[in-house]
Amino acid sequence: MNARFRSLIVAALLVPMCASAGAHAVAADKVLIPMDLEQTDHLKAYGIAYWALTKNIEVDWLLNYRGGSFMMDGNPLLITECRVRGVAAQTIGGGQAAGIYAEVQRDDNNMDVVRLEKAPRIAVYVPPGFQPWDDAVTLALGYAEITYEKLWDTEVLGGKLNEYDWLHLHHEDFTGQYGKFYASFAGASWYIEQQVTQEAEAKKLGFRKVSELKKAVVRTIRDYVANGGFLFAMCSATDSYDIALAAENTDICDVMYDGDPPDRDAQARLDYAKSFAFTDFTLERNPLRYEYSDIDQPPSDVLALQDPETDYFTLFEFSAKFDPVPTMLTQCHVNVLKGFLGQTTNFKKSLVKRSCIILAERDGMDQVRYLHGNVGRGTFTFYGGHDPEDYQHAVGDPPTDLSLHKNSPGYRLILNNILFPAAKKKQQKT
Amino acid sequence: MRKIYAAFCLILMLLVPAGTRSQTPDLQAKFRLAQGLEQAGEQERAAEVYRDLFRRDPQSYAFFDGVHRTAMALKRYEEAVAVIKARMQYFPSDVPLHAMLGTAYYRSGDEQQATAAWDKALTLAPAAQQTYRTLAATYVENRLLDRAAEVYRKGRVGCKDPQLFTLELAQLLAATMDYTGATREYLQWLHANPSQIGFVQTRMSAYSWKDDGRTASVTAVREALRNGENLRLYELLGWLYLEGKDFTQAFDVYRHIDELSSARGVSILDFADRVFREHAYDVASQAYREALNRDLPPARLPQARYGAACATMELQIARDSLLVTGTPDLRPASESRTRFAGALGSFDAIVTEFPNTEYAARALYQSGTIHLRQYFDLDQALQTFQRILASPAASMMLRTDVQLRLGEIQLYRADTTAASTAFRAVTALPGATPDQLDEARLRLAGIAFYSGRIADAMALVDSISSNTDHDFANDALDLRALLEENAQTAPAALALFGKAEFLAQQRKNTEAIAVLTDLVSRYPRTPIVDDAVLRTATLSMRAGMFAEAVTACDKLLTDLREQCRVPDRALFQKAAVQQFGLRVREDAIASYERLLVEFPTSVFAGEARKRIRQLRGDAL
Repeated sequence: MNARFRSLIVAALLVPMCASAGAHAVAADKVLIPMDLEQTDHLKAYGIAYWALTKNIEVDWLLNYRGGSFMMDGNPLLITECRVRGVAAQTIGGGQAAGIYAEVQRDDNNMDVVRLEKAPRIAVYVPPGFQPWDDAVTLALGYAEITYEKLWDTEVLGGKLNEYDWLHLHHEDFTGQYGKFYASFAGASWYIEQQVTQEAEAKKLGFRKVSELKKAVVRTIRDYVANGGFLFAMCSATDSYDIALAAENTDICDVMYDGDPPDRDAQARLDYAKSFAFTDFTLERNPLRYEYSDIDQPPSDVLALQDPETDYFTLFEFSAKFDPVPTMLTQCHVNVLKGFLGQTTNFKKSLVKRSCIILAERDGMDQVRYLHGNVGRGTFTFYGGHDPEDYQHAVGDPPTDLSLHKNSPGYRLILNNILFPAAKKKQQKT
Repeated sequence: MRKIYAAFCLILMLLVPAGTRSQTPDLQAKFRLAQGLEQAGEQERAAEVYRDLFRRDPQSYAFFDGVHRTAMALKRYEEAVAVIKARMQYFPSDVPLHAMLGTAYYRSGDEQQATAAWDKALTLAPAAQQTYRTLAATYVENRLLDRAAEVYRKGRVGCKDPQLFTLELAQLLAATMDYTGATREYLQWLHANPSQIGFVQTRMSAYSWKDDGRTASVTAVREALRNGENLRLYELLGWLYLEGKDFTQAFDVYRHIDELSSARGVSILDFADRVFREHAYDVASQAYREALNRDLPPARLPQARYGAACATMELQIARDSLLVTGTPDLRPASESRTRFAGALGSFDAIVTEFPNTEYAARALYQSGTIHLRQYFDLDQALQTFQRILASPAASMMLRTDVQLRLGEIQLYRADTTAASTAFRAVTALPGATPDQLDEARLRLAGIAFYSGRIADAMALVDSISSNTDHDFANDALDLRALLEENAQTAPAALALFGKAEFLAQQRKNTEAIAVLTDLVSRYPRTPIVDDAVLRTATLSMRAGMFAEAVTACDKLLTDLREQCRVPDRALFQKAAVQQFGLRVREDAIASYERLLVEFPTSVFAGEARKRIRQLRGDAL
């Protein structure tokens, strides 16, 4: 990652463009991409914003204005591209645009403008043989036509992470327990192959056990974030990443995962100071149980208690002018979203570190769905669940066709994270 | 006396249960306590009790196992090593003990000692299969899969049996993604069990579905074939190529199989049938021809000839469709009659050379269908279909299909009475399939519509089952919508539309267009005008009159714009004519873009977007 660029992007320090006089040349026509219910394809709208950035067209993200709309200088190519991709956009005159900026800028409106300047370089940590439909983020990126590159352990440990602004963790098990699928899938060819592949990778990189390799990967990612990287994780990558950080000095894997028993005192040897988001969690010591710890709520193996009809979560509202980062991450055309299960679905609120910002939770429950935090000069965002448009996505299920979910609020949250690193640094008022 | 004492002792030993001979009640109670503690997760306390038990009876396997198990669970590898060594004093040649010792060393991180212990284990009973099985299981337990494979290989040498452990090795190698190695093992199994090719295919299919797995398998099989011709190996190779849809390579293999098995073309014929079902008509066509050149048994000749003729026909149909892939039917009405000459000649020859056979009847049906659908030669088609009805070899299903085609011919000849009779006959047939019944009912509904019997048409359309896999259901829904929409508001215009449709069925496109034009001028304010103009455009396209088709679409978009309910459809149709008929790329893009601008929520918008991107050459 470009150090100069990354250093500019410090969480919570983003430019409210309207604050600087004359920042917007609003005399010319503008293109407004509304992101409220008038938008025909919310997901591809993010792709248009990204496309504009790749063409050196600056994008103003109008936080909380009509669902978090985008405004760009008038450009026939842009309008055509919107039409071709099915994104609702309108050309507005300079006067009207000035009115919008003024409305957004008003002190009594919880809105703000963030200028997006550069298309972020995106990496996705995925294993070999990965299919895009295994993972909601790559599905969303593919649908929105946002380019990304794939990295795996060799590249991460080889220092390649520094070439990227944003890293997504595929729903990987960083604890080295292969997703704890042993009880159900020990004999399945994909499971056997996965284990063999990872063991070979570990040996190739000089590690005796996969869990040791994953610890090294986890440490490298931690350093990447601390140096200004943006980390986004979903599903089991969230808690398994944090557990692996805390378990750096102990062995929590049972014999079927790493060939020897776990440390008897593994629980006591967890170092919560090392983890990003969670503290005081209790490990699930049963190697046959499909759960890592008590972070996940409700536990993955009591799905019968889940009811899609009543499973919703609520986005918090933040001050756009004072908390632009969480505001960006929660831009959406609805604030109550339907839930969706994953190996890790929600995070037990009492185990979330106080330093984290809770972005969404299940009302009335001890369950956090979406959170954000800072580590050093970088940030991390954890989002529970597997696929926002497939309530209970199981191994072997067909991929979700996002053309049938163009306005998915759940997928929007993912794409908010993609644009977030493109935001320009705010000048400190002090 | 000494003999009596010995006998008494023997009887006493037999009476006392074996368990209590080695464990006193006190030991048994402690052992149960240790087990309970272990199950409760109290490993430390369990280990303590096991240690005490072992001290008191060092020869008991149960006590040894308890100490060893808890030591390993607590990662006290030194203790595990010590207890194993203690037991080794009593059982120095016990292979599992040496394997355990290796594991304890390995887990403690001492790989050198571990290897030494495992190597020693191999020397204890080198001629026993169980030695190698034990060691292999130990290696697998420690995730040393390569070493497990190696020990099986050593076992073959040690037991002097090169066939040993074939399936175990194959499975192990497949798991480690050494597909070449796994295939070699399966080939060895096949060599020893030639009749088990199905079993081998089933096992290999665990990885042959993957490109790398299949490539490795092919390499291994080809490598084995270098050692000599082997029919089973060729069968396996052919199967692998078929799995990968590499029909050309598969064909080469089946040629060889045919020669090797002196099958006189039968193997090639079976291969041809298989690839025909896969729609690989070019390879199928070649294969049928080669089978015919190989002195096929007379009983298989009609099958091969029929297959070859069908492949020729399908190839021609595919060539035609290539011109207009994904587009409406834009072929001009005047087709060259030579296109299907080859297929027709072949079907005719089958009829002549194999009279009164099922293949002759089926050949006649294909021939009649070409005359009807491709050439619109109604007389020739009628004559051909009638010959099938006279043939005793024709099946009931084929006869029903013939009835449908006869009705179709009568319809095209404008003889609705004869057509109705034919279609009704089908609806009365108890053996007619659901598809055949649906087609007959739809045709009867069409006839009722052309004749102005709208209520009858509606009733018939309603009777068509909603078989969504077949076009008939969609056609029925379209017809129903047309009738429902216009029957009350514009019955006269609807009747004219029916007349035009009837003419269009007879391929009298210009006459149909004239009727539609008349309809538009006489009933300009009726809703059916939209359908009439769009139908005019479609018929113009069918006749290759692309400029006229564009004009018709433009009429809806300009003169009739205010009343037009489907301007997006007109614009989409215009763009399609520009793209596929006139082949004016920029105009087509402009029309599609206009559709997106003016009708952003149109059902055609998605397809329009796709086509713009195709025309722009975007990487989608």
